[in-house]
Amino acid sequence: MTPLILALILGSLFSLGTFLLLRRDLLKAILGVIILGQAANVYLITMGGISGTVPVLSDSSSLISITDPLVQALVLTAIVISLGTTSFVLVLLLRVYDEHGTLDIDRLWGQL
Amino acid sequence: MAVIIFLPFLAAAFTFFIYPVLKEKTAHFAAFIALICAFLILNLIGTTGSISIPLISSLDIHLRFYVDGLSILVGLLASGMGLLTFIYSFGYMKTKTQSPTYYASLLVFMGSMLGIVFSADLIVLFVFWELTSLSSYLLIGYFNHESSSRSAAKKALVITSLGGFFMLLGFLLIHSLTGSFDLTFLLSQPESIQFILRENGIFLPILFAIIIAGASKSAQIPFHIWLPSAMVAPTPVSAFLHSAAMVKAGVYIFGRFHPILAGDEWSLILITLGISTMVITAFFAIISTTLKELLAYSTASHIGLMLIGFGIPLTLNGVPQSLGFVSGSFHLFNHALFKATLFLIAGIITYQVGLNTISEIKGLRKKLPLTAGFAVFASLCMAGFPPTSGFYSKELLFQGIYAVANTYGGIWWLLPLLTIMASAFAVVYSLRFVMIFFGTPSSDQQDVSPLPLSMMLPTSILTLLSLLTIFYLLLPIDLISQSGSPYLQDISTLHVGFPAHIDPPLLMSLLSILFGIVLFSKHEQILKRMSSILPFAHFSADSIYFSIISTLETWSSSLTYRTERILLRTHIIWLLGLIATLGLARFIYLKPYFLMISGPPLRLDFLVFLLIIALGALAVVRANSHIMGVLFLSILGFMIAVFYLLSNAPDVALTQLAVETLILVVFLVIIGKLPAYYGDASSPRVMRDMLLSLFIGVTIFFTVLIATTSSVSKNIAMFFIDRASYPPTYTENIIVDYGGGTNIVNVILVDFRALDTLGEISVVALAALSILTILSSRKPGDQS
Amino acid sequence: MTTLITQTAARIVAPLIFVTAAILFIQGHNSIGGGFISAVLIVSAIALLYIAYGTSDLTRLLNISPSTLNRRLLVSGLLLIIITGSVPILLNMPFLTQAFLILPPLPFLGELKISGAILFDLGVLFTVTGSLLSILSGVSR
Repeated sequence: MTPLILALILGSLFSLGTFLLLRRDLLKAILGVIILGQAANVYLITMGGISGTVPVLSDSSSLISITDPLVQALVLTAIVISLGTTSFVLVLLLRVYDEHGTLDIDRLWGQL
Repeated sequence: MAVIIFLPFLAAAFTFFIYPVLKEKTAHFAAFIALICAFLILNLIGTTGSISIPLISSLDIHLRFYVDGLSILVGLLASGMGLLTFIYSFGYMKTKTQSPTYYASLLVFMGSMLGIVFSADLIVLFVFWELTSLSSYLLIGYFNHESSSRSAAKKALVITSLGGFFMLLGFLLIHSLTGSFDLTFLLSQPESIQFILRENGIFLPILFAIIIAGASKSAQIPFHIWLPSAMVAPTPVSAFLHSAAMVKAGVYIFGRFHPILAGDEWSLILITLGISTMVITAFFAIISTTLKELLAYSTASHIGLMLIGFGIPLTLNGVPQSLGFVSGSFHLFNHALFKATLFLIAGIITYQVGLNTISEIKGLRKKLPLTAGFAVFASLCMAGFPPTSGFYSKELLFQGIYAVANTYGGIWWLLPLLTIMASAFAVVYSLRFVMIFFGTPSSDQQDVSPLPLSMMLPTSILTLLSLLTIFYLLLPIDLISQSGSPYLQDISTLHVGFPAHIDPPLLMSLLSILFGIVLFSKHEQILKRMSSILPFAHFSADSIYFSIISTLETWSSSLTYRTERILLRTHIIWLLGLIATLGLARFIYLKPYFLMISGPPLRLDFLVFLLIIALGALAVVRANSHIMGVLFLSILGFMIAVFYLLSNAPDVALTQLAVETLILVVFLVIIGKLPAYYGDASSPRVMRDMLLSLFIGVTIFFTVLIATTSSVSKNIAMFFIDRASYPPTYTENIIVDYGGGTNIVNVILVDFRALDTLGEISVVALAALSILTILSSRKPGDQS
Repeated sequence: MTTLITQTAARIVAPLIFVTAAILFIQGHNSIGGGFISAVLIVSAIALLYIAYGTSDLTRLLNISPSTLNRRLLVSGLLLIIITGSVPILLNMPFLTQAFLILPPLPFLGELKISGAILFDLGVLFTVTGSLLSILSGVSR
């Protein structure tokens, strides 16, 4: 059952993210990008196995049952980077609004 | 070894910190660095060999270094000339706008030059090659408020990086067959390498690629146009780049690949290229109007002569000989000395008299007696008058050229004839340079400004070295003969020195000097008669360059217009739709339906949080104001943090929590400055978007299903788990192979995948810097 | 937002977060924590202070403009990594090779292990803190 539920949830996250990405409101598009990023992170973590033990070594833990530490390291940096890039995109957005006075993609397209 | 190359780069980084303290004395600091490098290279004399430090082992790229006579010779020139340039700069730059960029880019240039000559890995060599192009771009365009400087710098960059592109192409071709980027390996068996390349039919492409690379850097026809334009650079830069370094990098490449590529085609191309450049640019030198332009063209001409040297076949009349290689390298050495002297003198004249145009300068002999002496000596070297060092290296080259003509006969007799002609031209332009010191000075010339010692000292040292070369002719030749080239058996049979009896090469020398003097006495009348066609000859190559550049610019902008002026949304729809179609087609083929009910039952706590996550995303979509959307997104983020915690990733969960908080803060700050929500588009478009999203969702659904149920090998994970902590038993106190920590995630971040982490935090840093730049750049309403 | 309640709360909570961040950083190599985590925690604590007190008061407190400080942090972090990472090159090992030192057993403390990676982690901490603070102070201007 686990894979089925996970697949359903991740599928719906990706599809909602894509839908947001296609909105004409730029801010909504950015929200979509963030949701897609979060979903990708969750996907990676589930790939490492979610039922193991914490990847911190101690005398009692058996080595085999440890969840994959590599994906965790990957996701950890991805999260920090996403903070940087999200802020960057938001500042760009602010700039677009300052320059063009609108965040509506259709109207921005008309201004080109 | 590695120190020699990294020291200048390190020093360049420090320049920015010490410049505010030292100001123009930064020149002394840089000179000191160059001195250390030169000293270290002097220490290497007599050694031949290589060392290797793995850099990117998986791609077979190593930090390999290779030392032999040729690399020591060019390395010595680069660091020694660097030293003198920095000393000279101290005086010269006092009157100009100063900035740490100048010293930093000169240091970087010197470092990359040393990198080129000492690196034994082709990729590393290529990187240093491009670094010289980049730093010379900064140096040539140093006076960046003038448009001529900018255009000259761009021209040099475009042409030399075009050469760099061909070089990379050649290297990759070499690698494709030999499987090696290791120069030491390639040079250890040049014949068999050449045989393999020929067998597979890629010898000629490689040959062309390497020759284009070398010719573009050493300003051979038709790439010679960047060299005279580059004279807008500060004079010490010209002296360094265009006598001892930049152009010599091109020559060095010819010398380095000589053993591997030498053959009939090599000789034919190099000799043709060399002789045509030698004649044409020598002619340009005669008709040039400023001192530096004359020197620039003469540099290209002399390099043409060196190329002929490298092009002389390895066997003549069945007898193996190394005359060409040795004489080419020998002339490289002599040329660097006298040409640098002349550039420095040109700088002194401009500094003291304020003039650069040849026809305006006259009779400087009285005002600058010492400079005049140096200039006359160096010019005689350039013209190849006996008994200067220039004469001896030219004599050796003439020997080779005569031997070629004698062996092949026929049309090859043109070669010595053209050489004599070009050498006569050399005599003419050298005399032109000398003549600025003679004659009666025009009355309206201002007084000379005093010359700082720091400018005189390097000039004197160079002249002295040039003078000493006459007495120790065998010293540079000994150095060259320690080269890795296997064709240096007959070095002891070479006759260097004044010829004992009159032989054809000597005759060639005498003829060209005689012819040159005659030509000089008449050159002004001849030039006057030719004045109608001169501008055309001067600018044809230049205009071709400019038309190519403008055509490319038009093309690229029209291409960009056609492909990029599409709504971003359209891009996304096509891209995602295509990927999803391809992916789904594959998955249907794999038939993953039966996987649906497999796997362990889901724990209830997981189910709850996953449902909240999905509902949060749905709420973001349905939110009818920006602020609600952001708040729902935040809820989603916090729930994901809990999910991480449940899936045994506490580090990730903690980070996610803190980051989610920060993102919320940033969002709230920004949203206050943005307009309210816009509403949505017409329902047909919403329908279309929903369909595409659904399509994507289904694809992801199958992907996850397949990915989570397939058995993934845990080898990589097990490696990290094994190595994260301590070795089971240890004897040494310092342990490199193990991580030494029990938090495996952290050990991966800071130890095993440290390079990745460095890249990632650089991204964060760049994002921050970009944000600051955008925020501080011009606000709307300001005119740009 | 600069009400008395937030200010009082911030005054209590921020030091707690700082201490937590310090602990997480130090224990990072062996237990939950590390440079990234403590960096984002520090930044969130400072964000709290920003919200409670406003940027101008904080500037006066630190006696240096935050943007300069942040940029210096950022650059020094990267430099720290690059310089310490270059040391192995001189010893003929790849760039960024990390090693740890096992000290001989001491009384009371037992066998101590010192990891060179702590410097790398410190660089991460500096860079991420500097970058995120620059972003925060940038957007809130």
